Amino acid sequence: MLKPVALGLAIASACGVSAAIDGFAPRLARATPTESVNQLQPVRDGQAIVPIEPARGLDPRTVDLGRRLFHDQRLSGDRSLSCASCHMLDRGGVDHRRTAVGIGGAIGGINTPTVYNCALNFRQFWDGRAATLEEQAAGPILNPIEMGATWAVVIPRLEADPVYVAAFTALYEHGIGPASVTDALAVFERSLSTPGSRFDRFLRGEEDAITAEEKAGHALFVSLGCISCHQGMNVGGNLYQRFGIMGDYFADRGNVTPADQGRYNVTHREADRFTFKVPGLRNVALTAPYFHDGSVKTLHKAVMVMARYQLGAELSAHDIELVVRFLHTLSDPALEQDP
Amino acid sequence: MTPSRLWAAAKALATVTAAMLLIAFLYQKTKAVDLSGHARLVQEILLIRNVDTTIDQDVLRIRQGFLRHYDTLNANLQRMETGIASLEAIPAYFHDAERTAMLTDVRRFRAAVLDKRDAVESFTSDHAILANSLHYLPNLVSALVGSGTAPGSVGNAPEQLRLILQEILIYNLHGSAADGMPIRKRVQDLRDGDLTREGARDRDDVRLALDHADRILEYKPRVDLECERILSAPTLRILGDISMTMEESGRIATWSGNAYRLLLIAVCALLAGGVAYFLVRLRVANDNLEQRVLVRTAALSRSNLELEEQIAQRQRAIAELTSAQARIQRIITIMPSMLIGTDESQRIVLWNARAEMQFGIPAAQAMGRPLADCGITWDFSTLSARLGSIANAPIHLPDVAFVRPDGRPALLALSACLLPSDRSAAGMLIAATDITDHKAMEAQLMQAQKLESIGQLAAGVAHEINTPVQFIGDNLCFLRDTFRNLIPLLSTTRSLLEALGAQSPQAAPVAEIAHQLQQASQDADTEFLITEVPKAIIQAIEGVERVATIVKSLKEFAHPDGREFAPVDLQRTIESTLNVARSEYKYVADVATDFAADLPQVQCIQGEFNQVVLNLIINAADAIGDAVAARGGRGTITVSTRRDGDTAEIRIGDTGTGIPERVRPHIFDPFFTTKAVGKGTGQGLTIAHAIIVQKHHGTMTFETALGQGTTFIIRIPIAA
Repeated sequence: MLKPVALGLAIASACGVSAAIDGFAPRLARATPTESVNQLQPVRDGQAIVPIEPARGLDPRTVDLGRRLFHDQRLSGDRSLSCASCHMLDRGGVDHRRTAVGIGGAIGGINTPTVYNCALNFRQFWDGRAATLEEQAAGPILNPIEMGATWAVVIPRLEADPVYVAAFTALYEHGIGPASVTDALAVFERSLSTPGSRFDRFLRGEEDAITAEEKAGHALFVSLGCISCHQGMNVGGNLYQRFGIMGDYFADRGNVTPADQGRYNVTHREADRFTFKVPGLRNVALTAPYFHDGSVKTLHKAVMVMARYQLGAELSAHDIELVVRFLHTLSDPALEQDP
Repeated sequence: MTPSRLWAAAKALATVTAAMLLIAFLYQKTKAVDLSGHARLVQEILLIRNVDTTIDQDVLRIRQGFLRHYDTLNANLQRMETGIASLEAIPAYFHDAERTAMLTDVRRFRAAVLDKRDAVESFTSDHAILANSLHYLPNLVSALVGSGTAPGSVGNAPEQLRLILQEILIYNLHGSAADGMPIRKRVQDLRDGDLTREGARDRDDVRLALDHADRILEYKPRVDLECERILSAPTLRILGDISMTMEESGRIATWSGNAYRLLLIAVCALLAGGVAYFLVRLRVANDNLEQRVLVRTAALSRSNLELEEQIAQRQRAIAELTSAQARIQRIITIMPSMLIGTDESQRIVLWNARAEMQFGIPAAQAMGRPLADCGITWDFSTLSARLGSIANAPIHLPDVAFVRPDGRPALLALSACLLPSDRSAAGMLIAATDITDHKAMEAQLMQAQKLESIGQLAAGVAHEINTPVQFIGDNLCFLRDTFRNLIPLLSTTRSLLEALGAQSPQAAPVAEIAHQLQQASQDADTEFLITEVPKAIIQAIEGVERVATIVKSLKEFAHPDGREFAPVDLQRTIESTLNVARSEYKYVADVATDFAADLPQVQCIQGEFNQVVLNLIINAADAIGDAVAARGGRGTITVSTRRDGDTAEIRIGDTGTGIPERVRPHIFDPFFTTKAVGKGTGQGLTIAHAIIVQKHHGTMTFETALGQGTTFIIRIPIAA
C-alpha cells in the first residue's frame, strides 16, 4: 500500500521540480540589448529628396475595408458625400476647386490637399492639427460644413450593413466603432503611395529617366533653395513654414480669412501666424489649384509666387519653365494616365 | 478490504492530494510573476534611448549639412511618442509605490519629449529659412560680382557684398552671437550707402542680397539656440530614472518569484527525500535534478548581473557620446592646426577654418572632392606613398612640401591616422601645421646667437691685438729713425772705400777720410744702436707672434669646417676658446686648467662645442665679476677634462656668486636670463643645452653653492 503512495508523491514532486526548473529559464536574458539597438537604424542618405518606399505590412483585408468606407456616402450626414467626393482618386486625390465644397453646397475655407502619399506627412491638415491619419480621418466626417455627420448617426448605419458587420468583426475585437472606422480609413490611406515617379527612378540610378532640361530644373530647384523646405520622401510635408518670408503675401492678396492664420489657429502663438505645413510636391502637377487658398490655377504661377514671397526673387520665364518641368517628373505615371 | 486498510488507503490518498495541491499552489505563484513584461520594458527603454540619441545626431548632421532632409527626425520623434505609450503599460508585478514613481517619471518624460518635439519643429522651420538664404545668397552675389564689369553697374557694392558673404559664411560655420554684430553693421552701412551708381536691376539684386544676409544673421543664432535646446533636453536623464525604478521593481519581482520557486523546490525535495527511502533509482534521478537546479540558478543570477552592467554601460556610453560630440565640434573649431578628414573613398568630409585660411580654399569648395584633387599644391603621389603604411600606425611627417596660395614654397608638419569605422575601409584624419616660419625662425635664432658671441668677443679680441700691434709699430718707428741716422755713416764709408780703391791724385788723403768716418760713426751713435736695434727687432717679432696666436685661436674658434662631427682635441680647442675669450675674464679672474693626458680625440661638432664652452666661460666670468664687485679680489675659472670610460667629462667652474635656489630649475629655459637687460638674450644656456643633449647625446648638469660658485659639467660620448 505504501508503495503506490510513495510513487504518487514521487511523480508529483518530480512534476513540481521540473515545472519549477522551467520557470527558472532566464527570460530576462532574452532581451539582449544589442538586438534591439540594431533594429532601428534610421535611413542614412545624403540626398535631400528620397525615393518613396512603398507601404509594407498592410493587411489587404483592412485596406479593402478602408477603400469601401472611403467611397461610402453613408459617412456624411445627408448621405450625399464620401471622402472620395473631394479626394478623387482618379484626379490626383483632390477636387480641383479653389476651396472644398461640403454638405449642402457649403463652401469650405481651405483648399483640399491630396490624399496621395498623405501618410508621408508628419502632421495632417494645412495647419498640422492632426498628429495621425486616424485623428485626421474623423475630422472631415464630423465637420459640419464638410461631411456634417456624427458618430451617433454613422455607426448605426454601418451596423445595419451585414457586409460591414462581417468585415469589422473579422478584423477588430470591438467590431464597428469610431476607432475601427478611422483605423480602416487610415490603413487604406497608407496604401495610397506613388512610388513610380520618373524622378524616383532617376534617384535610384536610372540616369535617362529624366531629360536634360528636367535635370536643369532640378539643379535650379536646389540652387534657388526651394530644396530647403521641399525635401524628404514627400518633397515637403515634414515641417512648418511661414508663407511670406521675403514679402507679405497676405497684404498683397488682401481679404485675410481665418484659414489664412494657419497654425496660429491651433497654437495661438504669435510666431505661428501665417505658418502652414509645407505641402509635399509629389504629383503636384496633378493637384491644381495651388496653395491653402487655392488662389493660383497654374503651376507656373505657383512657382512664381513661391519665388517672390519665399525667396524675394522675380524668376525669369525660362527659369520658371525649367522648375515646372522638374516638378512634372514628381508625378506618378499611373495617376497621369487617368482621365 | 478491512476498514483499517480502507482508512489507510484514504489517508494515503489524502496525503497525495494535499501534496499535489501544495505543489500546484506554489507552481501557480511562480507563474504569477510575468517577467516577459520586464524584458519588453528593458528593450523598449534601450530602443527609445537609441532613438533619442539618433535625433540629437541627426540635428547635428542637418546643421552641418550632412543630412539634407527632415524625414528621419520626424520618424524618430514619432517613435519616441509611441515609446511613451508602451512605457505606460506597466507590468503587473510592480508594487504600488514603484508604479506611482514610474507613472510620475513617464509623465515627466512625456513633457520632455513634447518639449523636444516643439524645439525640433522650430528648428526645422528656422533651419529651412537659414539653409535657403545660405543656398541662394552665394549664387546671387556671384552673379552680381560677375556682372560688375557691365556698363552702368560700376561701383564697389558687389565687391563689398562679396566680402560680407565671406564673413557670413565663416560666421555661420563658427561664429558666436557676438560675431554677428559687426557684420550686421556692415550690411546696414551698405544698405544706407549710395547705390545710385548701380543699375536699377543690380540695385534690386543688391537689396535682395542684403535681405538674405539679414535673414542669415537673424536665423543663425536662433537655429543655434534651438540646437542647444534639443541637445540639452532632459529626455535621456529621465529615461535613466525610469530605468532605475524599473530595475528596482524587476529585482524585487525576480526575488519573490525565485523565493516561491525555491519553496516549491524545497517542498518537492522534501517529498522526494521521503520516498527516496523506498525508491533508490528515483532518488538518484532527483539528485541529478537538484544539481541542474543549482547550475540554472547560478546562470540566472549571473545573467541578471550582466544585464544590469550592460544597461549601465550603455547609459554611460550614450551620455559620453553626446558630450563628446559637442566637445569635438568645439575642438575642431578652435584647432590651431589644419584639419582635413576624408571618408573611406578619400573624399573630403572635414575642412576646418584653419585649413581654409592656410590653403586659401573655402570649405564649401573642398568638401566632397577627392583628397588627390582638393586644390592644395603639393606632391600628392609622394605624400600618398609616404602615407602607405597608415593602416599599421598613425604617421607623422615633419617635412611635407607644399605651395602657399601666394605662391611661396612652404613646409607642413603633418600627422595622419585612420578614422575608426565599422566598415572595412576607413576614412583618414590629417592634421597639419605650416612650420615654414617656425623653421626659418629656428635657423635665425641659431645665427643670432652665434653673431652675439662673436660680437661680444670682437671688442676683446681687438684689444688683445691692439697692444702688440702698438709696440710693433713703435719699434718699427724706432728702427726707421735709427736707419735714417745711419745713412751719413754709410755714405762716408762708401767714399772711404772708393778713395782706398782708386788712389787717385784728386782724392783726399786716407787719414782725412778716416777722420771723417770716425766723426760720422760718433754722430750715428753706433754704440747705442748695436745694443738696442736687435732688442727692438726681437720685441717686434714677439709681438707679431702674439697677434698670430690670437688670430689662429679665433680661426679655430670659428672653425669654418666645424659643422660636421669630427674627432676633436678637446684640450686644444678649449685653449683656443680661452685665448679668444681672455678679454672677458682677464680683469676679474685667473684661469686654472687641468687637462687629462689620457683623453683621446672626441667626436663632436667643433664649432658648436666651442660655442658651448665660450658661453660657459663668459657666464663664469660674469658670475665672478658680480662676486668680485661685492667682495673685491680676483676669482678663478677652473677648466678640467677627464675620461670616464666611454665618456668625456668637461668641468667649467667659477668662484662666483652661485645660482639662487629659485632660479635653478629655470636656467635651461629659453628666454630666461638673470643678466641686465641688453646683456643677454636668455638663449645661451638653452642653446648650449640643446647642442650637448640633442646633437651630441650627452648631458649637461651643474653643481652650485651660493657664494662659493658654480660648476657646469658636460658629459659627451667619446665615439659619437
